[in-house]
Amino acid sequence: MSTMRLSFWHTARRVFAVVLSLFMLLPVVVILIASLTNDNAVKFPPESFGVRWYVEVFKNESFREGIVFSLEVAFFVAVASGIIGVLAALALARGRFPGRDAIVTILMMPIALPHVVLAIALLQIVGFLALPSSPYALVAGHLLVTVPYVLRLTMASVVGIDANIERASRSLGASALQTGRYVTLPMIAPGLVAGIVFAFLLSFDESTIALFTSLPGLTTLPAAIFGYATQGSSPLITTASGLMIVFAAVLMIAVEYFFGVLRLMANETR
Amino acid sequence: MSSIGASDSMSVPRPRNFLRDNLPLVMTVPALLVAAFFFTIPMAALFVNSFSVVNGLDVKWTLSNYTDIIGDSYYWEIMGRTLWIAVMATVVTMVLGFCAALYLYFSESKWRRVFLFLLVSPLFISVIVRTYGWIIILGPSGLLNWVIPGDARISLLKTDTGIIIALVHIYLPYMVLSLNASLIKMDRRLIHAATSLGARSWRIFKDVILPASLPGAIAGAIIVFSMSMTAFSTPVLIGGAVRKTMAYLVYQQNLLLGNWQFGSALAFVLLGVTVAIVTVLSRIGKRAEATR
Repeated sequence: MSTMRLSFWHTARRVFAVVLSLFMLLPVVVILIASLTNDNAVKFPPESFGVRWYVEVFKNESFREGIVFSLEVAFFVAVASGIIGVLAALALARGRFPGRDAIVTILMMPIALPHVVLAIALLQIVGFLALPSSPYALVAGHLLVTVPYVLRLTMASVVGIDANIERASRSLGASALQTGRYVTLPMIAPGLVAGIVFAFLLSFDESTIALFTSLPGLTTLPAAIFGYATQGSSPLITTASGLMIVFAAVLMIAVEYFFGVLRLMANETR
Repeated sequence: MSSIGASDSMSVPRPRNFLRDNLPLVMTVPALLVAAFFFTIPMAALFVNSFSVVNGLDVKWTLSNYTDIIGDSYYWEIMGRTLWIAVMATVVTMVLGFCAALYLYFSESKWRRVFLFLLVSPLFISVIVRTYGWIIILGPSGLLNWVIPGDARISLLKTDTGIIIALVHIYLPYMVLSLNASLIKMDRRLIHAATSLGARSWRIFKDVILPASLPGAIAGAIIVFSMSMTAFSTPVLIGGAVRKTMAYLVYQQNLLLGNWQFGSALAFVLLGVTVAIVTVLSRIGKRAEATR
């Protein structure tokens, strides 16, 4: 009886894990399969297979512009949040100065707020200053979301290094700048690179702020996909989504290489 | 930085230099500028704006934006639907997330890491893409109709159920990560002790695992609930114009109708209700931990 119950739970656990894995994979797999079709409308399963729409998507002006603009914005946001984040992280992880905890709280706060609210707040300000919303409000909004992540990852790396190594470097005659460049930076590099790649991906994937701030010709790929998807499904959106999945997969491999995806997300050390 | 200070004190005293002496503070300046100009000031301006009514060049300070929202049953109905969707998404995510986190905690299978990877990797893919995947699945010529036999064309698009399914899929990784973070802190010997003292599985779950995972469960519920309350693209794309949620109204008032003052007030109503419920949740969590 008890072995029967045990094996029942054992099987139930496995079935659950498999079913939940399939559920998590489902939308991604469905998009990838549905995108490889020559059909004129989105059907699942597709009636024919081919790469016709992957050619069409690059001929479509709004998607082509969207890809380029998304990459530009994400690149700028990643570099800027990397610089801003690493400076703040070094100071905040080491320094003991008045207001330190308050500064950390203020810097982390934007990720707790809905993108809808951040977006309209930024739109009203750039409207007041008579600036175009894209790319100014867009980049500002993305920096708000990405700086906290870079800060958190880099701070964790800074806390993890032994300050005696830097002291040794200084006592052997290296300047503060040399110590920072040749001792500190290499030690925090994995956390910083993971933070920058993550910032790139957050900006590249973000859709709400991107949609609210979009202007003709200055619309990111996710915002362009949203615009088309409000009219229903179409093979063009499917392939554009497929491209975003491929892109995310490439960056995921980069994170895995530099830092370990599961270590980054779930503190997995095994 | 301490390392710089230590070696500086050994050398000949140098003249005062504000930048050098306050280096840590100076290094946070770029981040603080971002927080001030892109966050604090815009949010304050949004809040102030929500108390104004603009008529041409005439600006009037009033509470009428808020009283108009509270006095109109239309907004109550949409807030009700938003709450219902967010609560359902949170509950379903919690149940699935708990089972997944327990599996991750106890499994010694070589597939464990694969399972964890499949659970968290969707976070790398844009919400808009995952939502679009659900549109293909739930739509009239999608996977659902292929799997379910019969000629009747069913579609979960433009239904609350469809929105909830997509939100559960999108926010489940956060719940799993949050519960997982709590569970890995639990001492495995507690379970061995309880087992050797003869406790049944149910009692171990109730008296050992549940209390240990409570902080993660509350944190996960807070994340999933607040994100579901304020989610924009998923409810709009799946629910369409017939199943509007609060986030869509904020968008509509601000961007489609250009009614910025009223739209600001709507945003703060949504934010206020969300924060109120999140505060209650975290109080419950703190109290449960204190009485343990």
